[in-house]
Amino acid sequence: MMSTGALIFMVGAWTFVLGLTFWAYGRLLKADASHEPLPPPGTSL
Amino acid sequence: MADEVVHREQWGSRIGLILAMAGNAVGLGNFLRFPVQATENGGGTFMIPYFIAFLLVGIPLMWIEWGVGRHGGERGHGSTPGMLEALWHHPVAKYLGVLGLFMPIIVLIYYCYIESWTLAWTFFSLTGATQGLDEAGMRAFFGSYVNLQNGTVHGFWTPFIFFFITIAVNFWVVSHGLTRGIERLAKIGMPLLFIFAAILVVRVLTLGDQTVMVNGVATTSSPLAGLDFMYSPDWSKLTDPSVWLAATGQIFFTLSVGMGSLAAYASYLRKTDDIALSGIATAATNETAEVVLGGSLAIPAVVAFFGVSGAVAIASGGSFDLGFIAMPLVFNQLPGGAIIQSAAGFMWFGLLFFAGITSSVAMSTPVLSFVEENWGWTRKQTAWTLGAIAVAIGILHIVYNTRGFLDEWDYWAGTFGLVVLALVETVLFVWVFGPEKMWAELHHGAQIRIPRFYKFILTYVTPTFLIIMMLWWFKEDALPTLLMADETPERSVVRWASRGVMLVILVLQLLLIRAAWKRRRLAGKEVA
Repeated sequence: MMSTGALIFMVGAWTFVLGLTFWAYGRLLKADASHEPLPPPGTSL
Repeated sequence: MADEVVHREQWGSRIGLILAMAGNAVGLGNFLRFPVQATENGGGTFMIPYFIAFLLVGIPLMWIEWGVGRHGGERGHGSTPGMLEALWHHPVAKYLGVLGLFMPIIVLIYYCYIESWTLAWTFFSLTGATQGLDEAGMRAFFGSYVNLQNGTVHGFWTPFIFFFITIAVNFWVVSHGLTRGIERLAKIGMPLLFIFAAILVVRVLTLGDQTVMVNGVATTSSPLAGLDFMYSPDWSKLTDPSVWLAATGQIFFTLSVGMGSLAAYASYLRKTDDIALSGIATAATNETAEVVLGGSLAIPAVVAFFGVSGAVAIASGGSFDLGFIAMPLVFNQLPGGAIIQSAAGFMWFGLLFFAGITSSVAMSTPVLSFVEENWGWTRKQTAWTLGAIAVAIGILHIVYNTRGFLDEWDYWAGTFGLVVLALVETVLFVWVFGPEKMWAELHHGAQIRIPRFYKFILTYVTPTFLIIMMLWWFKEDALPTLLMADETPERSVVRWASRGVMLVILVLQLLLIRAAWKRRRLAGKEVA
């Protein structure tokens, strides 16, 4: 069995990794539909 | 001339690029090295510095490799000699870039040899060759193969045949170029890898309680006990610097940074292509493969059938004991009969093969680009010539594997050298090229704004981590390895010969760089 602490740590680790992955692919797919690169930093948006 | 944009082959699609980059990063280490490192360094204790290193070293180095690559690619350079000179207009820069030719070719050759084991074991799983073997039998089966013990289990030529097939497949893929070869392989191999891994994770985590013998006493264990071990930190061990260095090292290897292959792939980007978000997507895909899949496979499976102490003992034997001896033993105990056991073995070694080949094709890219760009060879000519060289040198690995030939290459090129090139790339891109230009380069075409604090991390924290890691490894490992402490005379001879071959390759590559720049000067081409 898993201890509660280990379970919380594992859920946190998986959430971080999977969350980052889905967020990145979500942004990529959204951007692919209408890709408009951001201007270089230092310029106003 | 410095601002001239050179037109080169480009990636066919965004998803193809990301999968190829992720395929480059996801390798054998995700499923073999990571569980061993985590187990040897306290399981949960290891995971905390691991995630910190991912944020402070992994993602920054990923951006640096992408940035160096795209910047060089725009100027017609697909390998680090030209890329580094594009950042630092100094005659020495191109020679520093030799590391980005040397390491990938050295690692490629022995990596293909290990990759050929996974191909062989995929075949053995299908034929049921490992079914019914106990631990002694499994060790004999593995030992006979890697030690060339003719007639004991395998025929003498069996390892050679699988190695030749692996090399042929690798160079057949790269001979078809970027989109029709590498990108197509990634689009097939990466989904298959994830599907095989996901099926195995579900099977492993639903194994339930198993009876295991620990010190002669029957007790119960389960895959959840393996996960518990992986995610239960011992806070007192967090002050041990070796755990931090092991975690940073794992992040380093798992992302394939410091080898020049990510930069070579990035050199085929357009100036307006995003690298900020794509770099994160690549790193995140790798972490999903490593933490969610790799972390839920070998250790939980082995703990279920051998207990935590058994798993730690197996891990102390190294990645190959875990992957090629313990895992087949686990599969032999799966309920459902021979077909299920064969299918599990096929998927395990199949996913390792796909993880391996998507990385090894990337390792060939810097050298292929270097030859094509400087001598005008076609991709097919270059690929098959390099393949022939890999076969010739690879035979030395097969014959002298047990006498330290491979270990030498793995240490100097596949471990220590990676940190050196990563440090060189970081110093040149961040400090010499300049923090402002580096920051602007990362944001050209960017689809996200990188958080401002990452400029500080890239400028100070990442280089500091790398310097500490290099100094520590030099003191702890490099000196004893160099001096061959406690080595037998027979192995010493082979290891010195192994170093000699590496040195010859390094010198030849330095001469090739010199010749290439001479040709460029004669052709009236400025380099940077």
